[in-house]
Amino acid sequence: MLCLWIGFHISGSRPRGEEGCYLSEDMKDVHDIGGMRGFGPIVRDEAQLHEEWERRVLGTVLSVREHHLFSIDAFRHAIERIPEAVYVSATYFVRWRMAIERLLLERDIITREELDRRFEECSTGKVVEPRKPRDGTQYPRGIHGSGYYRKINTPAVFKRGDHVETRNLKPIGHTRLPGYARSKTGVVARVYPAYVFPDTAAHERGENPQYLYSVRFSGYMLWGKDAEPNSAVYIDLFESYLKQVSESIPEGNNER
Amino acid sequence: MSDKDKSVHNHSSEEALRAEALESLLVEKGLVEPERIDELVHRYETDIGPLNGARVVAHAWTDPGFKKRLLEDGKTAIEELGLAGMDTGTFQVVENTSSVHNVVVCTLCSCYPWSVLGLPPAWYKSFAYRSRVVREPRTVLLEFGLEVDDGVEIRVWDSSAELRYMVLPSRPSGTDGLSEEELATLVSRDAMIGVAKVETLL
Repeated sequence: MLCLWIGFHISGSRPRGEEGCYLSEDMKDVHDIGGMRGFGPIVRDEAQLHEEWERRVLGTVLSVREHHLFSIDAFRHAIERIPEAVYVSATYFVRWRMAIERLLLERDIITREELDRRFEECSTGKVVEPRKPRDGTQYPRGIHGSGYYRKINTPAVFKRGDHVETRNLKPIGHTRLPGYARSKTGVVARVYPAYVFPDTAAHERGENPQYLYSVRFSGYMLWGKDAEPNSAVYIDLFESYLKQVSESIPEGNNER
Repeated sequence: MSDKDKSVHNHSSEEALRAEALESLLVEKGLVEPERIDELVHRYETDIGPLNGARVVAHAWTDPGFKKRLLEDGKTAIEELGLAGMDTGTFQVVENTSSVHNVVVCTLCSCYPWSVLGLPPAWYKSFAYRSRVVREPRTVLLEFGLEVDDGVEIRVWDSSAELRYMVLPSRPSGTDGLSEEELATLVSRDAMIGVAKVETLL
């Protein structure tokens, strides 16, 4: 499986994408696995948490997030920036721990030296109880807003029933346009209010709220003639991911 | 600790130490409190569980007005049952019918309606489920023991933004005499993700 990911990086031709970044058709980020083959059967592991330390990581992340120091998008992007080989071999909460550490390190809230030192101390059983902050004051609240829904004054560009095409976007960085849905045509099933735009919020480039749309894609459109019959995927897509197409889209010959 | 013990220090005990080191450092920085961590974990692991979602489903089955409001605006509707939005941007319920079967996934990470179903099971977050259910939903559902007739459209909901999806399963026949509370006990977490149907136990 690993060679598969390495393959994305050494694949030869790199046509220019719409936003000016270079990409190959196969190039995908490691987390962007919708439609990817090779993962085998689904192992029915019903556990929510496996070990006590996963509880601590979960609680630590939720707890830190209450300080609004970074957006949810920055956290997702920090997970996505884990090197491929590590991403695929690490378990879920290991990825969470790595991501939260990275965000705190990048914001100089902790340093690599003190984290390494504390790990050493914990490894040798030195630290039993952490020293609590002396003055007991609250950690200052970060600048990131609560929730994700934002009111905007401009009208939505698309309406229910519109035929739309997803742009061929693969920005270097965070996006919520799944790779399997790039340059595909679908139909707007529902218009949602405006939400914080993950592609900029993840990089501290502002919330830039945009309308969000539930877009229906037929299985045939996404997967071609091998698609399973009578199936569709609905994806929530931001307005700037989409452009209008005039002609109606044949849903495919496997649709009833 | 002997050298031999050290050598068998496995990956998860190293992770336990890394988690401990991080928490300890952040306590010292005034960023987290162990009690608050306990409280948050308890909320999602224990307080909020699939039963919250099951109550929503059972209420929708017995109150058509509520069902209509639920499908239009899930977040506002569940407040009627005392369930708050919590982590959700918006909560969207999709209804199974005789011609449509819905199933929920998040291919890019692992978005899940925590505020009504609690924490997701490990399989929901697995690469296999995330990669496959969008491409071969019928095959995946069969692996879960659910055969969906080719005449029934499968709709896969990829939770790519801050909307959280939950499936409103079909009410099984033979449950006319059951109370709302009894109905809620029939509704499994898997049925609300869309990888199972609600079966009557009668």
